[in-house]
Amino acid sequence: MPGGMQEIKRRIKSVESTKKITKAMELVATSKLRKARNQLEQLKPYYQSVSETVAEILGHSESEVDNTYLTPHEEGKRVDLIVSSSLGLCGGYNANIFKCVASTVSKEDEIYAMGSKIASYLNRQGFEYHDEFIDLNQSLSFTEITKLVKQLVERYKNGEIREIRMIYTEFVNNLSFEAKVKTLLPIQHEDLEDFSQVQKETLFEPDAQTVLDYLIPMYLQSMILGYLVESLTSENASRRSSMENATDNASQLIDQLLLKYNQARQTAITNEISEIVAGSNSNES
Amino acid sequence: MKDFKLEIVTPKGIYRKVDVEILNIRTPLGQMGILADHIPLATPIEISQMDYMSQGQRYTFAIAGGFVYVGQEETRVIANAIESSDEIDEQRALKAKERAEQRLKSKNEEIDFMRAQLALKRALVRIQVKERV
Repeated sequence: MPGGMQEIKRRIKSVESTKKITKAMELVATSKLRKARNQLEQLKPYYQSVSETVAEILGHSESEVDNTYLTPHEEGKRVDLIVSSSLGLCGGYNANIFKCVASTVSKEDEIYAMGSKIASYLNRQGFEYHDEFIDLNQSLSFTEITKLVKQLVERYKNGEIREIRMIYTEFVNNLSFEAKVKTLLPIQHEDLEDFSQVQKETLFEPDAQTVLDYLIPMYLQSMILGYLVESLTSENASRRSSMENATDNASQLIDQLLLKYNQARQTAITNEISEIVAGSNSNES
Repeated sequence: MKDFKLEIVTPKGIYRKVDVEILNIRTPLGQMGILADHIPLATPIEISQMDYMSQGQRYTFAIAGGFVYVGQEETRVIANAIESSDEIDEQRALKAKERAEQRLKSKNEEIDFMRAQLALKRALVRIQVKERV
């Protein structure tokens, strides 16, 4: 069956070229993953310094400062910042975020989409969202984050916003990640408990309230940047592992096809032989 | 003079970790010099020039706003961005200054006045730090 053999040969070729692509994508994702993880590591001291200082100020001078940042507001909107990827082929990364969004976000919420995948999902579901910061998941621009935080904090203080949440993907290790919802404001007590709170007489210049007003935006900036980088890390890890699987599958498929091809070749030869034998037999008789 | 530990962190990681004799910063209340054994203190830092003495040598930086926390063990400067005088690109700073000045002059309503002012301030500080050397 020469026709069938031709078919199989073509399929082997196409699977091989797909395998080359997935392999290349795996390598690219690996190097991007390393970069993102480095960035995550570098960000840690900054994030920790800011959180420690916030914890200390809130911990020891609760009476002095007005606690808008700690107590939940009654009224106002809920704001969700949702991080997804902008490129596909990264396994269940986006699907997990979508699932999480479907179960936690309501249509009254104000949504900031970060990543084009979540934007198109929201479009499909009929949600309204802001798209000014849609590139933030890739650019990780600190200036843009500063702008966003400034807007949000101002509105939070005016009572227009009661809660700011972030939906991102937590990076557990290279193979597991989890979509998470995190409340940024009001600040959750358990976020601050990680840091040992030393009760000492700290001097605040000019006063605790001013320092806190200055520090809260910094705190939010570092949190948002941190979660963005973490999501990016998860995205690349997810892409790497799914591309690795795809490459493995392609190898398996090639093996199977090769077996089929050889079988078909063998069948063709056997057929030919039996035809020749049959022919010579009929000549003899 | 007695040394104390100074750590400068930025969103890009730990920028410097050194033992210094004195740290000079500008806070909203004015210039401030921090020596060893200062009482715990937390205060914002303006967009300004910052310098410290380490082993008899003075190092100068341009800091684009930040925060200082003087703890018992170490002093921590959390900066949005910081550059030493060597790292400053003077041409870029001059250009940024011109751009900001133009923005401030034009009476276009769409321009964020505050932002332009801050940009101008950052550029001026950078130029000032660079020229001091």
